[in-house]
Amino acid sequence: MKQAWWKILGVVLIGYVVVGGLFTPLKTGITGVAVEGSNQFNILSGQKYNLLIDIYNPGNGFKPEEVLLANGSKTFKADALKWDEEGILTAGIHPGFGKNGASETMYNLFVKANGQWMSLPNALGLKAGISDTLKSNAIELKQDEIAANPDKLKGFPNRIILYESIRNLLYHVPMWFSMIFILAFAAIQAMRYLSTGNLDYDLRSDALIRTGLLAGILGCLTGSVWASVTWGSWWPRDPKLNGVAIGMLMYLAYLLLRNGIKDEHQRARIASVYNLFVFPIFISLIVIMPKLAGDSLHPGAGGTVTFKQYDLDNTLRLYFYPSVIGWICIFSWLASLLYRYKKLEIEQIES
Amino acid sequence: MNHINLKKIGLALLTIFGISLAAKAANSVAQDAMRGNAKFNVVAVVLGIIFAGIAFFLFRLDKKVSKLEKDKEQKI
Repeated sequence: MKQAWWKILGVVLIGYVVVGGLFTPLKTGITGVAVEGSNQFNILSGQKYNLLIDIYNPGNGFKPEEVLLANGSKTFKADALKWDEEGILTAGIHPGFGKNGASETMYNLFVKANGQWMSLPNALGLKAGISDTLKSNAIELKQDEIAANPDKLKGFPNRIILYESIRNLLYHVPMWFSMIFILAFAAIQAMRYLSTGNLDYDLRSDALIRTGLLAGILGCLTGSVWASVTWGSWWPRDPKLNGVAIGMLMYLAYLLLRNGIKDEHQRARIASVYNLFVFPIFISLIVIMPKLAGDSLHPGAGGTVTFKQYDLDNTLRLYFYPSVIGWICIFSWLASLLYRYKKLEIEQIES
Repeated sequence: MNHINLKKIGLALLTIFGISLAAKAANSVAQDAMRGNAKFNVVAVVLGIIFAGIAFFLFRLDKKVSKLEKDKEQKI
């Protein structure tokens, strides 16, 4: 094997990421809430309810301390907390507004257990009841305490909608990182061809682009599968998806263009120039345009280019960066195999 | 050697079209299955797709290399 260290590095990193990424547990979190004796997600003020809260991965010694229902201006504190070891936390809530009444709004659910806050946004809707005379359990919102909640639990973040599928961050996202890196290598090889006129670099460029497209197709397929269970559509309306589809078509055009020219020097020259033009357009389509569009399902649009604090926590970072490096190594390896094959093929034809 | 194989491209497009139609038909069934275990199943599907894709790439390359070896033998 030629220069094996980065190939071994790739295999070791991917092994570490697959094993660690699959076996690290998720943090404790709320996966759902229901109202006892009702199949509605609306409650009326002036009545007593029992909330049944699904707790995911509670772990041993789960001790609920506080349950709040809050919408930013009004907060209700539940009483009679009951934990039944089967993952259901029962909490009594009696919301009321007195004379003022209330318009219908969504309330967020907060649960404090073992000194740690968890939340479920837009958990329940609250409507004004007809006779709102009950002494409710409204309290002042302890926003500061909830906001300054340190991440003490071990494990991957337990995010609403994602749940266990947050692990896909370690497998889907590195496909795109690999694609961008591999295509950047291809652009560098094209530049080297144009400055030296050595056909070898053109061959490398071609092999790299084919491998980059493989990473892109895998990124599309995995993303599509993931989106279907989280965003509810196999191809949701998102500037990033459409940008990458156009970008990949441009690279497919590169392959057709390259195949269509007989003379090898002319082919290499035109393909290299096309490659150099396409790469910046591709980057702007998948990185810059989604940010300008402002509204994207993907993280890192509108905010910063990199992941924000919210998207990556320290346990995920422990696997995410190795995964990116590992997949770049693996795809570079595939590209080098393809390049070596193509070189042999040309030698065969010439002899 | 260098001409574009229209048959292949057509076949690929048809396959993609067919897969998307089949996916639509099996939409809810597949989605429900992948949502299982708190959406853990979709992680398995994603890993499966990635390794299948890489295996596909390697099998194709292997086939090409075998052809090259055969050509070389015939020349000698």
